[in-house]
Amino acid sequence: MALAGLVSAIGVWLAYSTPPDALQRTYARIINIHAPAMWVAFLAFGVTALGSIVWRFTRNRRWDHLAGASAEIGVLFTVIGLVTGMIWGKPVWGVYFDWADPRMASTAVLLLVYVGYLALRRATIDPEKRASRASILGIVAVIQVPLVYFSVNLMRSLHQTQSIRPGGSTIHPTMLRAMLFNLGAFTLVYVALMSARMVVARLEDARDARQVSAAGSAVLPPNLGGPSLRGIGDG
Amino acid sequence: MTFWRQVRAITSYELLIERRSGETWSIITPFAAAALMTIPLAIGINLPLISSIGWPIFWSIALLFGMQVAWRHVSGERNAMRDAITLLGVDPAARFTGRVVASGVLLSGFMLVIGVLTVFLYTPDELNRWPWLIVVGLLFAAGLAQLATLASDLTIGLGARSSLAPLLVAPLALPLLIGAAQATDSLLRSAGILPWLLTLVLANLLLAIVGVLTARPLQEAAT
Repeated sequence: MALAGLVSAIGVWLAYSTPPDALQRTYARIINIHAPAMWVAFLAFGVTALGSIVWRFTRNRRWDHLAGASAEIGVLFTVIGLVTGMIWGKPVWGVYFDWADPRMASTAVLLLVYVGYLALRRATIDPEKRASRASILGIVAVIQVPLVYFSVNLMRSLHQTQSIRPGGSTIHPTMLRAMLFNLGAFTLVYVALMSARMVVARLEDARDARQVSAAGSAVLPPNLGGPSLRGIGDG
Repeated sequence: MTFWRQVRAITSYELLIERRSGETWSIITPFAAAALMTIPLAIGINLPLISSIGWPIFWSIALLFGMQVAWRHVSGERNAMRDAITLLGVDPAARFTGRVVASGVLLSGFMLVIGVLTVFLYTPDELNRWPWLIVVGLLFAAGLAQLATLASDLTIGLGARSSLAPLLVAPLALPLLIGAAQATDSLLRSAGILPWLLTLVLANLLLAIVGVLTARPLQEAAT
């Protein structure tokens, strides 16, 4: 986590030190946060789908934890991407949210779908049912990611098309260096957050396993943080 | 019992429940009509604006209240009923399809009534090739029925089902809304609607495939 923080700090410094754009001036620097944030969001939702698929085959809860944790982080980075996009959009396009821009609108829809995914996970108490239902939604919802990414190619849009392509880049090398560094930094932050969240998920599982059934499995004692009820009522 | 006979049986059962409860026609449709009236009242005396937003408002109301129509059975659904159908050996895919057909029928009727009300309340611009609107409406109803049935199966047994299911459906239904609204706009401008029709057809196909493939896993997750 410390390494991720350090690398991110270097990334922010690099972004701040890039020269201003000829047309967009200093506003262009926000792209060093916006693009990496969306990249990590896409990666996170892809990992959610992968975890969901593997869970369906193995029924190993660890893959469900991976899917859920990745979705949470994906939502966070989608919000960062949308907010930074809106901050950039106001001075450049004149509006915070351009409804005519397919990428912006489809990204907002993507966010809502995964907010729904997280709401479904939270509302389902039984771990097996949660994993089963969430895995289906996680596999279906990822279809949107390529649609969002290629929306600028499929439809007319204010949003620029891909700047980094297999044949080369249209970005100035100084700016490209900063953006690629931040890409790596954000990915490192994602990995760090994932690790922490997986640990929390394992601890939550361990806590749930320690709960004692007071009257069959239909009733569980509330977890008030007091003395454990283990052993009470045992023969 | 063959697959399609099971579908017919489930569809009849769902429509019979609706006939007895009358939820769609006595509750949801009047509520949607009331919603149609609130928007012009909020806008005020700007008749050209009200007329120009008529069709977009129709599709929005059809989406938001159409979800209620598709979930009309949610509050009354009981585990015992669902388990009985499962124990009778009904194919989960047939159950999904039957429920979709029933919801589609009710949604089509609902949208027809709301459409007529929209014409009277908003006096929207006339459509040159209005029969195509019926095709668009049927595709919209079919897609929404599938989506709502899928969301209903995803949220079986959850306490927050009535609020969670709309949250799941609304964003995923946006392609249907966009396809229908843009097709209507194209009809108004006498432009081609083929791309939007294809969007709706594609969305329906995708939902049908997902619904049929996930029917059994979702049934297992509900038990």
